[in-house]
Amino acid sequence: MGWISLGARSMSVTVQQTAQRGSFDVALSKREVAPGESVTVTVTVDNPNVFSTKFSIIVKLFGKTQSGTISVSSKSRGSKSFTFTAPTALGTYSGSVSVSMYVPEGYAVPI
Amino acid sequence: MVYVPVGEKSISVSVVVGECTKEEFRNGIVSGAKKDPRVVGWYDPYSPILDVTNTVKTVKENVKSARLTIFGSNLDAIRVQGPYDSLPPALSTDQVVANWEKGEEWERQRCPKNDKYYWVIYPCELEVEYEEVKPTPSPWLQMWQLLRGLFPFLPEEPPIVPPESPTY
Repeated sequence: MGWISLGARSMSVTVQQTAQRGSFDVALSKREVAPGESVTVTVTVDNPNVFSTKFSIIVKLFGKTQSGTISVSSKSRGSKSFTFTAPTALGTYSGSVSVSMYVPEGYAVPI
Repeated sequence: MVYVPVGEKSISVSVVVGECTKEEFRNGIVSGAKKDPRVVGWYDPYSPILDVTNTVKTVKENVKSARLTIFGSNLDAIRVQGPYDSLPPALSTDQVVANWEKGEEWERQRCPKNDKYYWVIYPCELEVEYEEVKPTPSPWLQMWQLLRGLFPFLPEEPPIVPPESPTY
């Protein structure tokens, strides 16, 4: 009585560190402007991760959209400004700032 | 390789025709305060602290010192009245100090965009320090002190304190 080999198979396990979601703040140069005057939206992003990453920013104001990306070192902050020109029609205009963060290969996406 | 959403925030901007914004009025006050010798400090970069002792002394007694902090950082708390075609008449000192005690500093400001005048009302805080007031001695004590001036050998305290109203 003895052991006989049935063969061998290989397998691999990848351990990934989950990236942390960043955060951001928005500052307006003016909250009231005259027609034709410019207003600047400054977006400051915070990268809590130990890797450098990029943030994608989309700013919508006065019916117009501007976008851009910013590279931020590990555990650092970065900011980017967007300038819009006020329309001639009076009123209060709402807009939005959307920010996305790039997760590099080797890191799991945060839930 | 993937982008994950970090979030979305709302912003809003008001478009106001031909008028100065509260921020512009406030900035005018701040730049004026930087040249004002009465400014003794800053509560924050938009809120000067002024020595208003001389003004308060004209309407109140026994004032030792008075300081006024004009708060300019919260634009929502600033009120604007106007426009007026000419400079509104100045408030009396009594009214100015009464406004301070209510927490309001009324400033007449001109808007160069439309060449109009406005009352711009800022929140403020008035702090007044009063002199210590010594109680007035009674007429009898005053007379005794006068006598002591003539006759220094008399004791400091009067021997008898007569009643307030003499009885007959």
